[in-house]
Amino acid sequence: MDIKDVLRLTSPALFIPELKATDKNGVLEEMVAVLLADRKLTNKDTVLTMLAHREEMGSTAVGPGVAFPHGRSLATEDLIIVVARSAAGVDFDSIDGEPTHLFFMLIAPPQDSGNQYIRSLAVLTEKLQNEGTRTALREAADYEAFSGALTEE
Amino acid sequence: MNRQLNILVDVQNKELTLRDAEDTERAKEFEALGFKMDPEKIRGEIAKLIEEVDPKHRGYYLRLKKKYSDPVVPVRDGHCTGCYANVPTSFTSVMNENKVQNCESCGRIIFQI
Repeated sequence: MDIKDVLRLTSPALFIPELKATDKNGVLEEMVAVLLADRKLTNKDTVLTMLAHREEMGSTAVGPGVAFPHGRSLATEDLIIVVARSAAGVDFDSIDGEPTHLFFMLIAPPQDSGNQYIRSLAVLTEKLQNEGTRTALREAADYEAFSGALTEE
Repeated sequence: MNRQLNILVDVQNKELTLRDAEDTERAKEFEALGFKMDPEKIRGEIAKLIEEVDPKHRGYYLRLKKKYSDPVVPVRDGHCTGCYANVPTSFTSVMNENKVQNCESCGRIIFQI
């Protein structure tokens, strides 16, 4: 699995170029709302509660300026990734205490035979280690430029 | 959604996380990526949530849990995703929206996503 495979799990409709939210719960709510609209789901609590509890176990803002809220949910049959950005940054209880600007939310199904869930997280965390990539992602004008920056070697 | 049902869905989602946390190999992979896994904490949270469930639903849920690994499942395209039996249209009626409902075929607790 590489970054191109990971990008197949998201889409322009699952991309929030600039978040309105200014706090952690708001970010999760906004990202879940996009997921629900795309998948025509109505029950936001099913996903939101799971994500909030996952954050309580330990913040998912593990990269410099990057967070990966994630978890398994009954709400989905396949792995879905919602991507969002915040130019100002949000306090996401990051390990380094710095604001978080890039968010990759992974919602995995109950069963995940190909182990796509962890492999996608691994690909993304590795890719986002690169400062140049992070800067390019923050500056990308649209989804096309964003996905281009992500796939660039 | 009915609060009782909400709790039961929450419990089931936590059971999914617990499955990953109890899988030593998988838990190691998460930890290596920087994501904490704490099965003890998740077990405690599940136990606490189950205590919040009304005794009549709790007993039924615990019996279901002995029978199925997925006692609470969503309805998709009019089907129970546990046994794939048709779910009557009355499931989504306003009259029933505040009830904890079961699949008539397999008995699993079902909910609308």
